Amino acid sequence: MHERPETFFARFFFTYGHRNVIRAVAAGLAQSGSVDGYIWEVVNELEPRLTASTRIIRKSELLGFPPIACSVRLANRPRVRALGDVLTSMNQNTEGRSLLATLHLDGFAREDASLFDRIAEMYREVQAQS
Amino acid sequence: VKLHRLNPLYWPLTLKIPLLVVVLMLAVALVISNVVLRRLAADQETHLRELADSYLDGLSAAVQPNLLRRDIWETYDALDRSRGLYRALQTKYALVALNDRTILAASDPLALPTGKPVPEDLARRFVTGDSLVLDNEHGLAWVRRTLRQDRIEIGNIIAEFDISGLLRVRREVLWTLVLVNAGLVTLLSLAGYALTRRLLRPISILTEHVNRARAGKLEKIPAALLSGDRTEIGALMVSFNQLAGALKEREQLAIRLAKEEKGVLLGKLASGMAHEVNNPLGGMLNVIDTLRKHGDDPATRLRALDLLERGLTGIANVVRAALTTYRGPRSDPMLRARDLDDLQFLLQHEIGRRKLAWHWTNSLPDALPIDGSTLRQVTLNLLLNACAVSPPSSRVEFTAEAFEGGVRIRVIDQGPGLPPHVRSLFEHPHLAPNVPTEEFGLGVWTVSRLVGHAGGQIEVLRSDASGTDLRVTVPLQEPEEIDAVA
Repeated sequence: MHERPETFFARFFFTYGHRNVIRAVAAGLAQSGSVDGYIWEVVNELEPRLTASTRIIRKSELLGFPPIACSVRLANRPRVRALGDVLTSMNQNTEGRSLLATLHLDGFAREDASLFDRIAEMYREVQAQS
Repeated sequence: VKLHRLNPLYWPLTLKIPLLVVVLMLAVALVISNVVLRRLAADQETHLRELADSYLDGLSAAVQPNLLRRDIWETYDALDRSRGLYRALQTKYALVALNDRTILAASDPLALPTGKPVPEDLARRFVTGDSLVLDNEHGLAWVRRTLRQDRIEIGNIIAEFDISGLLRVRREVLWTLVLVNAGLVTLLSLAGYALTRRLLRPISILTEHVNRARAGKLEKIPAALLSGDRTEIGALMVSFNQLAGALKEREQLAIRLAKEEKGVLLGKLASGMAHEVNNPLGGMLNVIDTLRKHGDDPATRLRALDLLERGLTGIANVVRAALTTYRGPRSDPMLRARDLDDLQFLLQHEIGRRKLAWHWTNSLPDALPIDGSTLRQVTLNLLLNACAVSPPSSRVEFTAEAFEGGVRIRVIDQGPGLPPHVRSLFEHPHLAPNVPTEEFGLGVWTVSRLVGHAGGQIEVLRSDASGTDLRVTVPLQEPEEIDAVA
């Protein structure tokens, strides 16, 4: 397509938050905006009146959820491993499930880095066009 | 009467005072309402200005850094959040405009999209330079704040407020004032009416009694209607009662006096009559003696009888005249010429005593529809007065004649003329007092009253030191009047 936001749109701006994108589109300040699918669904559940004024015009393919990452050097430290264990076992106890419910998540899992390969690929595509 | 009713000067006080209360109350209510509403409007405007200033101060601080960066989202976010913070202002929308008059962001981006120019009608509202513009008709207000960075103008904040709430408060205050004032006016005017009626009741009673007195029915105000004599009106009523009592007493006294005077007059007339009867009696007794002595002689007898007849006729005339004149209060609806002629028998003693030259002309027809007793009494009184004032051996003239519509009598004497007040009373008989006064004699008062009642008039043709010439005109009575009198 070889387009950049400033050439494709008459005007564009940043809202510094996914929820703000929904607010800007709902109010009519922006005609369209890009928003994380997870955020849109959570807002849709908690503030259905806000999302009611918006319409999804395109969904991307499923991509990896933003990861909780740490430095490789520190990965094997006991405190870091303990934190990873707490996160991955969160869906196995009541307290953890209650916390996950507030985040509208099923649980955390240790996944392979290849899960984000598609995102990296898209980044490279954009870089190649600029 | 209708004009009098329309003229407020003739309205009763019981109406005028409550009306005055209403007018004054309305004037006061208008002035107070005006002052209150003006003050309220000024206070509301000051309050609105302060609120708007405070709103713009807060908004300016939040918007200014974003305006410098031309950050659409943060500017919108600041405008959107401020809406919830200033609920008292009822903001309809707010916008931030750049120096080129395009909109950076507005709280209602659909109506005022980013990048579009500020609507012309909105920009025109601030041509006067005032930062607050009110439109009371539509219940809207607009404010503008120019934002500066280091004294350089970087843009404007413009906001529109709904002030219908403030106007509603004004309307409510106005209606409250109208209702309270209407209630007060009604209450006070009713109270004024009741109070005035109560206060003026003694005056109404007094006025009514004074009017009755003027119409000839002088009565005291009954004790039950008297106000306490400590009040001014009460004292006035007591004074009126005292006056009424005194006048009534005087009236009774005057009636008694008139009766006594009438008695004196009657006595005088009776003595005159006795004299008139006595005169022929001496002669008649002589005739009877002559008849006893020379009755056999037919010529002497006839002469004696003739003398007796003349004597008796003279006595009969005097008696008949007295009877006709003094037969009491009964009115005689007809006047006969002879009725006036007979008066000479009542006057002949006085005429003879004063040796007056007597000229009597009576050209009245035999009968006329006129109150005979009134005219007889008027004539007798005038002639008695003329005889009384005439110097000895002077001349007294009497003329009576009928004309179309009435009777004219004329009495001329050579006395000293009428006193001015008697002349004035004769010329204005309707001004005669109800009772004879010391000023006028009974005769003068009787004449003016009788002529006045009969609808006639007295003309003083001449009244000076050489004598008096009076003419009395009495109109004929209408037939129904005669029937009623008969």
